[in-house]
Amino acid sequence: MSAPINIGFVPLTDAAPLIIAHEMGFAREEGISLNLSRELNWSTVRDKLGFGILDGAHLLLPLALSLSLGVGPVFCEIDVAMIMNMNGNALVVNHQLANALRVAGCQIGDARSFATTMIKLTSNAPVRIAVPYMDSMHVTMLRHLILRLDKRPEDIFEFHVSSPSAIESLLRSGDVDAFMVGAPWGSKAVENDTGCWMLSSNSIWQGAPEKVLGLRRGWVRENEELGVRLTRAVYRGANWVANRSNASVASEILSRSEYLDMDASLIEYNLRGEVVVNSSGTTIFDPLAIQFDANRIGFPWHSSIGWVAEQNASSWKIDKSVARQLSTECCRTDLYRKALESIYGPVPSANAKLEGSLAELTPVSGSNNPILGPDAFFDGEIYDPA
Amino acid sequence: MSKPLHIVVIDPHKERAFLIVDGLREEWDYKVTVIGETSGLARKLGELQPDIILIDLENPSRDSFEQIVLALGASERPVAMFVDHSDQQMMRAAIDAGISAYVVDGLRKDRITPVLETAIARFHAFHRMKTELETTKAALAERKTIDRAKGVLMKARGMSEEDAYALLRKTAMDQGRKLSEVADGLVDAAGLLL
Repeated sequence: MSAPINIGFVPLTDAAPLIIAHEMGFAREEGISLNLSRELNWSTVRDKLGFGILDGAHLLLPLALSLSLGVGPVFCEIDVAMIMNMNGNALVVNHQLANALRVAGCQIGDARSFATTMIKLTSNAPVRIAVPYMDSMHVTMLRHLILRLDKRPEDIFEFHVSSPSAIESLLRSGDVDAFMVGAPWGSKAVENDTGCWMLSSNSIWQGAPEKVLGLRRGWVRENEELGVRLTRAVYRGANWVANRSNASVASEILSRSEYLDMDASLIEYNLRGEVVVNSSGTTIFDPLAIQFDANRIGFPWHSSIGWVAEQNASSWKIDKSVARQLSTECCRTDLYRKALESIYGPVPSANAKLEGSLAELTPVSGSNNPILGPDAFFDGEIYDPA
Repeated sequence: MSKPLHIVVIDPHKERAFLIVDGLREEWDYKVTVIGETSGLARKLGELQPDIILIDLENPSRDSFEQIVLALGASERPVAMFVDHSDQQMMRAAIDAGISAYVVDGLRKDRITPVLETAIARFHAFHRMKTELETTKAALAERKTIDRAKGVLMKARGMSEEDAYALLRKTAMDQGRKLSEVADGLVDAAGLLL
């Protein structure tokens, strides 16, 4: 057994592949041991990576990129070994805003309807919306949603930052009007009746990568073989979590105090594809709301990661093409392929694809029958990375 | 003589905050302000105009706070995160101890170093105190269960205290379990039976 690998995570349902890799023995099977470090704030994960205290982390994709590009307070090159999950973020608003949206004809759960109604309601001032970090898919997708409707995001949303575990209290105290947060923190606020569910992030982009397995490039350089084994362990953990018959066990493990430290039932909803939509506990089944199926979504595509880099280029004050090129260097498609080779996991032969072009599950060329999709954008946009 | 540094400590743990304040005031002439409640932080910090801000890495408001500090820097005065990137070792020690520091740009390193050193030492001291307290608490809780288990045996089997304890110990040894686990099981079972 090698020396323990120090990996950070923030208490969220999508840390599951990592926690399960550790708890269910996938890591041990690879001859590696993990020292999982629970962090409440993304800034702390960032700093600990920057100072080499962590070797890797469960990481917001845009944060992995801003660290690598050195556009934030800390510069630390990160290799994206795999996508841990797709989507999983919920948009929750306070009761007053929910009523205003309903009166103005907003169709709940529909991204375009939500955005057009928000544009109407914010003609005087933007709404204050909390997000876990500025370099996040939350901000990336909300900005994109508004930009595609030819409006300026800053006229609609005033972003406030709060760690996921503290975000509900900000809505309760009236410091913000809305928040967007990863599971299960949105369901928790809805169940507590602190706010009303409006949207799941997959209604903006079904194929949105959310958290990644990010490894310090300096560490990978010296420990490539460990990096491959870790990727394989997390890949297997993710597939295990994606199997709904494991939902009870997985949610019990995640609910422990050293991990999410909360009621298992909310986590179990997430893992079963159920979205809590009101305080009386009504749920709707939406299997795309949060996706862990690594066979289908694990591959670190140049194109989807490049899309995220391009979207953030203006706030990072760098050129779009530079952002995309640097982001490509973060995508360790080689590491991922190596990790899956020995276990005959499905990998595509291409490194980039048209984003938003798949309406349903679609077989693509590659080894061991890779199947992708769906990955549609709310407005049918197709992003061509070429 | 330059004016004393103004240090703001953001910490909801009163005991730790006092520990840091005492440490900082013991040896140096600093002005130290403690903020325990993080609501209205932007306004408070704007008024206080600190030179150095210390915050616990585990504070769930750290991300919110960072946005506020960066915003203050952009509009009013420059704020640099971390002392000096050349001083990796000290910052690593700070992060290891669980502390983060935000420093007004242009502050000389020799003025910052003693502040951080003291804060780091105090954070470690607090951590040790907490570990001690938790260990004692756990030990007391264990003892309580063992006492109750003894009581159950004494009542159900008319044993003396000494015999009851010996039986518990023997059972634990035979089963290769901790005494407290055996006691726990017995108390639980007794709760169902009696």
